[in-house]
Amino acid sequence: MKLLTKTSLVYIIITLLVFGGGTVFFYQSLKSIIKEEADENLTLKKEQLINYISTEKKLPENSPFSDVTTFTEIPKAMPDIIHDTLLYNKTENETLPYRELVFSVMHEGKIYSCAVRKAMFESDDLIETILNTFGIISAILVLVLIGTGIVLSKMLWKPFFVTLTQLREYDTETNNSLKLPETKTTEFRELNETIVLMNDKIQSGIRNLKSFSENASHEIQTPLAIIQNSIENLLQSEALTESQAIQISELNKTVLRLKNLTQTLLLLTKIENNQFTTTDKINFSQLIADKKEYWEELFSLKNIALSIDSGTNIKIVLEPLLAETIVSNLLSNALKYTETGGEATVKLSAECLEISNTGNPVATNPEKLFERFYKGHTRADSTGLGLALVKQIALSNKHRIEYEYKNKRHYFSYYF
Amino acid sequence: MKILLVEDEPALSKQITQYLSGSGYLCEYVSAFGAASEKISEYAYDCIILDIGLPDGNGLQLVNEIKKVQPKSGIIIISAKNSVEDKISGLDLGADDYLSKPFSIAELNSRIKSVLRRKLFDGTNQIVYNEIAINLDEKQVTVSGNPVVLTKKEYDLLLFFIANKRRVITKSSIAEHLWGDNADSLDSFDFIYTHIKNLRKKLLDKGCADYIGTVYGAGYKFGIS
Repeated sequence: MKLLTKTSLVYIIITLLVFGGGTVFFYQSLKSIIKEEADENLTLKKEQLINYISTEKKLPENSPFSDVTTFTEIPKAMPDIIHDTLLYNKTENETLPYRELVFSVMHEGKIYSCAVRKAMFESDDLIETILNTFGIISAILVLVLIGTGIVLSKMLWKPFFVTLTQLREYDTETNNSLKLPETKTTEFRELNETIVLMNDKIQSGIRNLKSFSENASHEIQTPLAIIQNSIENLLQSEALTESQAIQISELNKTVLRLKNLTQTLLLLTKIENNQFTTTDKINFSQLIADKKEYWEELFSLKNIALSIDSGTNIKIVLEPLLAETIVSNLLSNALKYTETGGEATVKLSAECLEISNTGNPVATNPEKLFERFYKGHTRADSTGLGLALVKQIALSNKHRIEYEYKNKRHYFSYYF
Repeated sequence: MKILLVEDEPALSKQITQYLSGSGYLCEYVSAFGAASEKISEYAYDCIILDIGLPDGNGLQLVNEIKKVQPKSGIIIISAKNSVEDKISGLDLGADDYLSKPFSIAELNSRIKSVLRRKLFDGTNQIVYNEIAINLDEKQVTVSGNPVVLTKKEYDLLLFFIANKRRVITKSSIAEHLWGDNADSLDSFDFIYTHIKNLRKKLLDKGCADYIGTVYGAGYKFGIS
């Protein structure tokens, strides 16, 4: 539920409760006060009557205007009774509510019951009018309060919502500076300041990471270059025995492995940290067509029939280097794991790049294929990073890579 | 041919200078931006090899200087960063080639030869080695005047061999030259053997002497006869 709705609801409920409760209480108080007053009045009248009877030594006459005093003979005395009653009123020509006090009085040896009454309808009307007015005022007050509450909330919370929108649209990678609103509210100002601080740290972290990637490259590759060149120079020597030459060649191969490994790891890091953010499209069909001859030759040397369908002008938003890496790694994989004389296919469509090849099933768990350094079969020439790299590219570009083994064929499908 | 090497890593400088001198070049080297500027303004070189990761200034600025002072010399940029942006900037500024570390010196040598050929020979672009003649414009090879039909890879291989004649060339250098960044290790090596076998056969069929020799365990050597 939205904050504004919550606060408004709370306002409404509390206001209603307070005013509702207040109204009820007010009504009860009024009624009770009026009733008390009527009762006192009746008691006074009773005293007056008793006084009159004892002084005048006779019962007062029933006057047609008096809404009080009827005398009836009764056998014995009874206690006072005060109650509400309904009587027909000639003047108003309807039945109306009265408050009545019935008491007994002695006169000339006989016991009479006497009733004094007070008209309540006027007071009732009064109460009704008062209540209505009160109710209307309350209603207006409630509406005004709620309205003010909502408007005020919106105003006060505006800086917060502006900040929220800014954060939502902010992209740490492109770092358009955060335009947070100026606000006098302490809490929001603190919030904004903290966000700016946090962002600075993030930006600094990103810069450090980027420069680390580049520095690592420089620092590792240079010693590798020296090793590789020393080896080449060593091999020029005439005085080498055959076994020495073989050992040195092994060294060379190992250096190359290191070189490949470092470059791949660095590429992985760069991709993970979203250092490739191109929005340009690359002509994937063209890319595959360009490499067709190269790969056909490699596959033909193992007598593997390679068929390539590169579609026509299929364009995808992807950094060219990454596109090449995907194709290269998947085909390289196919080449390694297809048996001699086997068959491989490449098919490109707008939704998917599918590379499949004949071959023996994978040694273990297919999910592990895309993990770093996982190798299906131990091979010295494989870094174990090829598929991990493809998967990382897929992740960073909201693509998908899937593997399936069916009908004695491996299927790698890269969905754009 | 005079070559200037601008490289701050001393071990690397020595290796490259040693190799290039052994291949018949006059090779000098400097290790800093300032010294490089001086040399460029005072002497003329046929080719300058530039490491752009210099500690006291970006080597890319040197490219501009070279272009101003001696526009005829070839420029090859080497860098440990393997950054696409650097490569594009360098080539845009007028460098002739870009090589990322680590590279085999045989490859560097071959690139230098390419750059030099482009810069210096405006007439018939030809390489001759004994009875082998290669017309670079037409990309045609003849042995004692008889044409030899080679595949693209075999042609590149032959050029590479002749450029690095009498040096032991490892299989990996050849792989790097023929397949560039896509040179996977083991797989390509079998293919190299096949290509070399085919090239040798085609040359021998036309009456060429057998220049391609195997150095067991190490690689190949072109030029023993």
